[in-house]
Amino acid sequence: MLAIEKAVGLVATPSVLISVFIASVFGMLVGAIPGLTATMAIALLVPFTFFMDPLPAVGAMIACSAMAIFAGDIPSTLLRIPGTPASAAYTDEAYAMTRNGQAETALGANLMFSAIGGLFGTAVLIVAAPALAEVALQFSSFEYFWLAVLGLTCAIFIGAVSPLKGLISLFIGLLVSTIGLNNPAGVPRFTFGYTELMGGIEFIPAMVGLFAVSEVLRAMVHGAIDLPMTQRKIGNLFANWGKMVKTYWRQQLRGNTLGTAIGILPGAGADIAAWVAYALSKKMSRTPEKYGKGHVEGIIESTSANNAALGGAWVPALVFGIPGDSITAIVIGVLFIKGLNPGPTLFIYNPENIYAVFLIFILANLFMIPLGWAAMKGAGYILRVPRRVLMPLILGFSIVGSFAVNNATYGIVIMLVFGVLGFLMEENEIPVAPCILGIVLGPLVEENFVTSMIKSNGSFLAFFERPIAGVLGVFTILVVLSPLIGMVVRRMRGPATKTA
Amino acid sequence: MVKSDIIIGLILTVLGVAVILHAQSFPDIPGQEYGAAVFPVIAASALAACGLLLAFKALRRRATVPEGVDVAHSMAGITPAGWLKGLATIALVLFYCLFSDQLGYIIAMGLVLVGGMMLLGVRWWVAILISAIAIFAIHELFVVLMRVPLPRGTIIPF
Repeated sequence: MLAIEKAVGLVATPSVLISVFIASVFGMLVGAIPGLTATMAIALLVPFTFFMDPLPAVGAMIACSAMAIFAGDIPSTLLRIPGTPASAAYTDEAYAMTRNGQAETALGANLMFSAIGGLFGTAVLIVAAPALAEVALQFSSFEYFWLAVLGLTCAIFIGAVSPLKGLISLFIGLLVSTIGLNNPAGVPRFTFGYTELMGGIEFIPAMVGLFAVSEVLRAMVHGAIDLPMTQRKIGNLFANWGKMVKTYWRQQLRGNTLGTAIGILPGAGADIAAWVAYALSKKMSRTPEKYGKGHVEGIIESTSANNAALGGAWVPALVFGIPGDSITAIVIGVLFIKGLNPGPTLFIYNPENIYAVFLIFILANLFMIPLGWAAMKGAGYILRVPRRVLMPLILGFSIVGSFAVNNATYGIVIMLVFGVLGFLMEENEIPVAPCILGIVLGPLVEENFVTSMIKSNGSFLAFFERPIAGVLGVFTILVVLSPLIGMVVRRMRGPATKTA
Repeated sequence: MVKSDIIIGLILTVLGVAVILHAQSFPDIPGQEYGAAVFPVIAASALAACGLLLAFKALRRRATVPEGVDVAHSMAGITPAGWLKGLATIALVLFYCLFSDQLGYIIAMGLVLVGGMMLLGVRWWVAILISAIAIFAIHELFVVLMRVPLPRGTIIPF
């Protein structure tokens, strides 16, 4: 009980409340602007958190990501451009509703079910995380190695267009993480005599480059186009709330559960949750023929799922230090910088910090309703912000943010290099997210791998000898082989469907 | 997509091999078999293997695609003007890196922002006005609030 009281005291300070509120507004704005993703919102926020205390910093990032994931639904509904990839699954459905003049129903459903989904995910986080932490205490380097590898493989093999290109991105990230002195042997690697590189690649400028500068370069190269809006006036958002909850509580619950479960899976986050939930909703629905023509049912299920996934993604992040998606990957990077190394010991030595994080989650999802209402009412203005003006401003912001981390121009150079890298990767359909996971998880994978190899005298079999390690190892290998298994199944089914 | 995949695959393979060769120079931990080189070599070998696989798959696809027809590749749609604008953006950032110490944050950032907006076709006076507001806002946020010592410049110190 004492820890919870302490946690309330920690959260109820002006610095935490103000930073959570400002970050919420910021996340809402960035998420609502088409083409700016939730990850970019976090990337732009991180240089600020560098100057904050750990709790306001984490609180700001939680609030910002929750708002941005939700706000992505606004341009998705009104312009048919998903604000964040997590909204892409139901963009066509929501836009069809706008064309039928039902934008307020779609937006109202997004707002309410996002908030409920977020709270559901938080509830699971509160129950599951401490219980898992108990288990995690018994983990050795073998289990941590498999968990990290599992996180990385899930990121690549679940829902990726091309697993091969995801792998390439991952290995680029892992190689980047080996630069510098920070390795088990403590020798400088790939520094080529530059003292700046000794400390490794600064995580913050690299991330700002990959997620923000790459986007600026794309706008420069392809041109920054603004799009027209179909429905300008938004009516009463709360009109159908009661009716929707009553009619679609099953869909909501299913979306929440599925979303949280996918979020907990290391390496899979809100985007995948939304896609799976939409597909499942269509399959289970009594009226699947209405899907795609402006039917609220699928929207409810998938918007419930993507916000619930956010809470779920924090379970492996806090308990094992394994990110559930690229946003938690960034947050874990920041936690390490702050000296708050995520892992089971966090629950034992600083339970009040964990409870405080839980409280901020609840707070953020409650803030979402008034702020989301304001953003939807102001959508006409937010969506009209011209990208031609916005993109250079983002560039300027990125430059100053990357400089501020060490007060050195070196940070800007890193940002630029990774900006160009991110641009080239995305232009060639190589996803960026596995790369950032690789950069964050690289040191963890290497340390646990080398430690385990030394412990077992180089026998790889030892990785499967402990029971949990063995299960995790086999599961990881199954995930890796899943595209192959899928191919075989399709081959076997192929002739059968042709004859049918 | 076909041609670019072959090129990228080969570049990654070369990169992987170069890393493996370079890693041979890392010293071992005395008395241990597994030292600094193990992990980079594994990651680089995997990267090289993926690169080869990417190039190989693209080559096989090329045999089935008719001559001269390449599947839509977003970089193919970039106009020469687009490429120039991208390079100009990189040049603006490099310019800031090189000269912000002498010119100071205000002038250097002003050039980056106004330059960037004019590249995207914003009218010059709108660009200057918005840049001025942004420079002031960033200054208040970073210098006043977070005490980041942004370069003041040696020519006209602010």
